[in-house]
Amino acid sequence: MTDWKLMARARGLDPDEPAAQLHIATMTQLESALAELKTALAFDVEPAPVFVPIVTKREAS
Amino acid sequence: MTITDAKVRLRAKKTSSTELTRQCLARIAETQPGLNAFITVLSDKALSEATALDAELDRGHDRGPLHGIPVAVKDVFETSGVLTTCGSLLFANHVPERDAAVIERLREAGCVLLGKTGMHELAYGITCTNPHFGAIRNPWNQAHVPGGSSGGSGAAVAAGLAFMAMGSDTGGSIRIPAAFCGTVGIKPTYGRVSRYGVMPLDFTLDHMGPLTVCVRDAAAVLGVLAGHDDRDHTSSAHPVDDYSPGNNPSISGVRIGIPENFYFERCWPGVVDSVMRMARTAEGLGAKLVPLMVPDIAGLNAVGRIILFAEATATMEPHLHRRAEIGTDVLGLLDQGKYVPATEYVQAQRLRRMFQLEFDRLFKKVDCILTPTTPNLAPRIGETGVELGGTKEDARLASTRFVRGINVLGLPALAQPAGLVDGLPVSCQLIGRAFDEALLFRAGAALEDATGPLLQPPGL
Repeated sequence: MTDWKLMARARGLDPDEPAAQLHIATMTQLESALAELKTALAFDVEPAPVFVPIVTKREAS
Repeated sequence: MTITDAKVRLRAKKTSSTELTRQCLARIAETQPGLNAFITVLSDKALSEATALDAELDRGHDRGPLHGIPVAVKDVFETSGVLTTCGSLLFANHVPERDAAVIERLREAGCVLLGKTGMHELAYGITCTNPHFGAIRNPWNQAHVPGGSSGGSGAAVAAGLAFMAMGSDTGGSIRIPAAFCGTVGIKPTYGRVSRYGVMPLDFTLDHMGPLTVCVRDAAAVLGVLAGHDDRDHTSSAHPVDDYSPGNNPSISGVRIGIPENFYFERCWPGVVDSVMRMARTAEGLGAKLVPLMVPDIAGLNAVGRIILFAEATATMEPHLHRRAEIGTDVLGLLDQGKYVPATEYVQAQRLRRMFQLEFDRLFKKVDCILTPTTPNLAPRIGETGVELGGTKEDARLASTRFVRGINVLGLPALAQPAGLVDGLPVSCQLIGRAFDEALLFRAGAALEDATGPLLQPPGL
């Protein structure tokens, strides 16, 4: 799991501030919610179509 | 009065656009001290537009179903020469030189613009307890929030201040105020309505759509708004259907999915019964109810929050040094975005694709899915937590629990009233296949016809 305190420090944020602790708690919860899903991701799954070059999208529609 | 009623009365010369506009402006003036639904009211401009549109109709120039109809738009849509604040001090003096594509289309269709409705600051929240423009109040009970972020639009439509009000929806911001205020709201498919000229929050999650009194009105408005726009690079060239459900819409044989997991869990007492009553009504009309297991929606919501945090903070980054001008709750969310690593954001976009494929498979078994729009009723102003199923839950997370994931999928979703509980509206949500808004309107109108008169707040 990610060391969110280290991540915060790397961004110049103080991880011991109450607000930072809330942010870290949210990220910990989100990371945990996605952990199992990420292991199910096939190697070749690319980002969602909304993110592919729009020319491709328009040609497809 | 609905848009459909007004259209008939206008053509029969039983009323005029000027008269309808005057009535709306009078109601806005009367209710503004309590509801606070508007940030800007364009009284003189609106009356002048209405007069011109009446003259056009007299000359036989009929622009269609919205000709002469007074409407409002959320203060996130840019309006040429008119203040557009996004509910924020950051844009307190922002007077755009262009109209958003949505405004252009509404004007071409003959709408009268009454003004700009209030909203949650930067469209980033669900209460509309705006620290800069004041709290917007729910017409059903002014001690409660109208929902958000398009809460001014929800309050305006529910209170009869406008025949339609536009909203934007990044994680439920059309459907939540529609649910809490007892109106209809449609979040169309991503790419169906142009985002050009709309102040962005999250460019891959933002959707534009109307809030209206009834389903047929929403269909009429979307018919005007839908279509390709070169200026929005995510705008779709997919053909636009005829959305009108007609007089006796049939849903015989339509397969309506009823989730057995997630969507009916941890709801306020009465919400599940109200939505299941709608399901049984649909069954009585010939629809086939199909029990189904939906994918991991809690995971889908987590994907949505990662994307939301990262994109919103990136969008607002140029303004983040003006911290004193941003409300505490929104600032907290914008700070949260700084914690999302690039890898998590990309993984979220990959998971997004996986979920989209899973829902494609789900929609081979059903034509649409029926759920509650929100598990809770409108919270009281200032209330940050709600108790659902014996668990205290953050009001923002509870209110977005059933709607946020649909933005991640980009699918269309229609919120419509499903009754009252404890004097506040309950709402059901119909989720459809991409670009299949027509089916949602047909099913929604059939249910609306079968469940009796439209809801109206007491005393308004």
